[in-house]
Amino acid sequence: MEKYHKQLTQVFRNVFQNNAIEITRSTTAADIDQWDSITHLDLITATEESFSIEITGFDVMGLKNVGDLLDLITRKLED
Amino acid sequence: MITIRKAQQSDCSFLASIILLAENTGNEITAYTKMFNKTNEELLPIFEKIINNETQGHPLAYKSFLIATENGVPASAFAIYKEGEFGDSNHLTTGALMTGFDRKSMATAFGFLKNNSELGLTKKINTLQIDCVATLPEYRGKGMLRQLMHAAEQDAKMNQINELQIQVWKKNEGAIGAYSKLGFKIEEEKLSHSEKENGKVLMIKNI
Repeated sequence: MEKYHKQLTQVFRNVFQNNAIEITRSTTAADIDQWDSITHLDLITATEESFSIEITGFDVMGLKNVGDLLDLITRKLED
Repeated sequence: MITIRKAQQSDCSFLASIILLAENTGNEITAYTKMFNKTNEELLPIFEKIINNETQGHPLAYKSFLIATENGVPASAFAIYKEGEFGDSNHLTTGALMTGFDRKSMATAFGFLKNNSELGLTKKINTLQIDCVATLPEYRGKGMLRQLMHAAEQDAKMNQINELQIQVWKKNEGAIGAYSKLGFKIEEEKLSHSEKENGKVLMIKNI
């Protein structure tokens, strides 16, 4: 299992208030009902808080799926 | 002479005015002026900065725009993008807005959207989305929208896209009529809770 995957899963479950949510690298907004533009900002903010990182607008524009978000978290924490 | 071309970085000022003009028909329940509680004059330089980015796949990037010019002068424009090609276009738009507004303004703006969340229409993956449509007032009635739409359809065909989608406000009967004449049909409506006779309308055209 990928590093940070478990922690990010918990972020998703908290934001979408659904403990059944499972995420993979290929998960996109199309796979999670409530993942719209409004909750996306909540998700970004919750990810920043959980991992103690700062995510910029340019970072967000580079995210196509959960895998990209995991890679971003890894870069922010390990670079 | 009317010419259609892709937008360049030097068009950002014009495109910012188009984005704001597209949202000021008087029929909008949600608009950037309402979301961010700012005037068009205050928003103009912010959006000029926001759309000056190299990303694609959403409406707040200059590369997404097609422009109609008359004798070389930009007069009309709209954004086109294949939904899902670079990720969810609404999420990319959120990122673009974050480059121009601080987090407190973003939270306020998205709180406003949350209060109108019943208006959300789903953009179908792999469709060509048409967004931020506007013509400068002095150039209206010259058939620029028709020529832009023809160029958009050619672009869609080249990219094996067989459906165009556009969202309009229900009260904007002029726009709905114009798109109907161009072959669009109403596919779905989401009515507002706050303004009973208004809402969002999804129009589609199969090509």
